[in-house]
Amino acid sequence: MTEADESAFRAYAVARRPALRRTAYLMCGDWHQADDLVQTTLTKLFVAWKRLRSDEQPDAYVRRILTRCYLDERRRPWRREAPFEVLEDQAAPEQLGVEHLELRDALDRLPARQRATVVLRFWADASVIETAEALGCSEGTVKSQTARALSTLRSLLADPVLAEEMS
Amino acid sequence: MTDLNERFARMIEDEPAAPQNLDGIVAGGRRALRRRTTVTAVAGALGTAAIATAVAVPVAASAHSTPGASVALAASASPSPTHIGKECVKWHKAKHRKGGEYLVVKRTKHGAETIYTCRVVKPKS
Repeated sequence: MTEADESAFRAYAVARRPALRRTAYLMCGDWHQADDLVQTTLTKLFVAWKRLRSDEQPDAYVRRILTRCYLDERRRPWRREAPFEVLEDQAAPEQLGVEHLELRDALDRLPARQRATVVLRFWADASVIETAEALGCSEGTVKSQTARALSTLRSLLADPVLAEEMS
Repeated sequence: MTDLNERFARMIEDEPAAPQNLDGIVAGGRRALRRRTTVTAVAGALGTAAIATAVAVPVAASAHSTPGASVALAASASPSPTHIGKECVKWHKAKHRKGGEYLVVKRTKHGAETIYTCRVVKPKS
């Protein structure tokens, strides 16, 4: 990779990293794991950078890599790191908003692909086609996964007002 | 569904400071690129060696033998039933001779023997 390519990659990574990190967090629910996912994604982007600049939009490629890294990680639980104990400097559950906790808990209960679908559609503003490309499935599957995920979220969220707003 | 987007935004309000250093990522990417280059080179070398063993060596060896001789590339077909004209011969004795020929003895029920010299051909399907 030439120096010009590397500097272009660095500029892209600096600009896109915060958004990628937030998307990764919404998918996995853990900031440290989100950092790992983003690092893996950007490393793979670096390897493919020369090819991508000529024939593909990096954003779509990055979204695809991030989603598949997340699904891959969820598929193999024995590779995940397990904490020995709860850190004391984290906010106690009652200090966070109730809505926040409820939505996070509800997201935790969704299957990985449904969670990724919801995050891509309603956080990353990806279209059905873009989401299908990122997940490696058909558009019909994206639509059905979205419908199932929203239905599950509605049933899981205790607050009827919140559930009503999401419908 | 913009409401869900707002709730997602609220979920990340407690975002901790992000790591800013990209050097680790760039170094990891360089390592991955080197690894891929090495794997590609090794695979290419192995493929070239396999082709040389299976094709190039027998062809080169045949250049020093008699003209018109057949060359076996990697594997050769096993002898199949022999046909002479339209009649299928049941081999009583067969002795391999040079040049792909077989000496075949056909014995009748009266004990008379006929000796044929034949070559192995593909059986008719």
